Amino acid sequence: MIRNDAPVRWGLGFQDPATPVMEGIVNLHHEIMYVMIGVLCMVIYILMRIIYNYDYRRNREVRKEKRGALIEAIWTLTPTVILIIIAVPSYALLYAMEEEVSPGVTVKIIGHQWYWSYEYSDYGEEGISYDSYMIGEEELEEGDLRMLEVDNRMVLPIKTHIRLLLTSTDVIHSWAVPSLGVKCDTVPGRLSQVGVYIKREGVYYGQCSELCGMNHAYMPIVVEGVKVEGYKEWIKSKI
Amino acid sequence: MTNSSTSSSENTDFLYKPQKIPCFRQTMLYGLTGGLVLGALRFYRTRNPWKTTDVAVFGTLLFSSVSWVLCRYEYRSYREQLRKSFDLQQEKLLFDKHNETEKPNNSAIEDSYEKKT
Repeated sequence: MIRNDAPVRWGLGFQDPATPVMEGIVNLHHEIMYVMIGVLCMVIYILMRIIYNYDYRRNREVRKEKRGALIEAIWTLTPTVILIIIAVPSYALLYAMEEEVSPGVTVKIIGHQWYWSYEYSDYGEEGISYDSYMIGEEELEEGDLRMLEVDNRMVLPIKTHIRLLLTSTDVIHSWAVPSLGVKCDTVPGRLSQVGVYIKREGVYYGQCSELCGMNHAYMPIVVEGVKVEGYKEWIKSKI
Repeated sequence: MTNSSTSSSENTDFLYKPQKIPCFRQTMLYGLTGGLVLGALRFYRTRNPWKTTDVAVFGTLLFSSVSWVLCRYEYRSYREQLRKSFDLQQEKLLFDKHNETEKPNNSAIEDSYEKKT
């Protein structure tokens, strides 16, 4: 099965979700999209009907309606009910996203102009830290994605609660990976926290999402989700 | 990711595909069918095209809304059951693994028992 975990040209839809948060976001989008399309169809139809029926050439006599309690109640209560129907799953997802679970892995992400650096401080005496630069077009191999590949990927274990701590050293960046449902601004002088739980193996692509200067478009993010055994091997190789 | 060598006419990954949304097909089928049937019945009674159209449109919205709510409820229940069964399987795997690591080595006892018998 081929998964859509990277941007495609002229892409309009979501990438395939890899975390429960992103699955929730996609499901909520489906729910709200249905309500939106239903309301749109109803409004367009009523508008067309009114434009046609009350055209001055067909209705020369002006009627003055002074009472309309029922219709006023209907057009007040109906949008209220629709908004409640939208709000319930939306708030449920919002609070579910903020649920805190004791993490198994903590990774620090630091934004620079114009690259990312990752620190795994839980392992070894000095921890593991490295920079992640975009691979230029001339260095790409066959099958690589242009302006998305990096020299050092971020490796994370799947089916593990992960805590990401984000900050920046210069200007505001934003660490965003659509498949994981993560987008978090990295603000200099501030430490942001995001929780992630990757459900399947794969390579997930993202890009900086806050304008940060000349090469803002050239600092992609690549996260490689591997099994716990593979993650341990990778950690051992890095220490 | 799709193969970059496919032609643009075959590569439609960029399009938004509503048919992939769970319950979309069922909702559209029930909504359109219900609206058409109601509209046809209204036209049969009144022979008024505008009233027919009103009933058909609002009937479509009503039937599709009901179908959507019911189908999404079933979809959520199914997903919840899937998640619970997955969690149970994970717990069972962990329990079995824990029991295997704590199991004593009874090979010497088994050998002596076999010798006796």
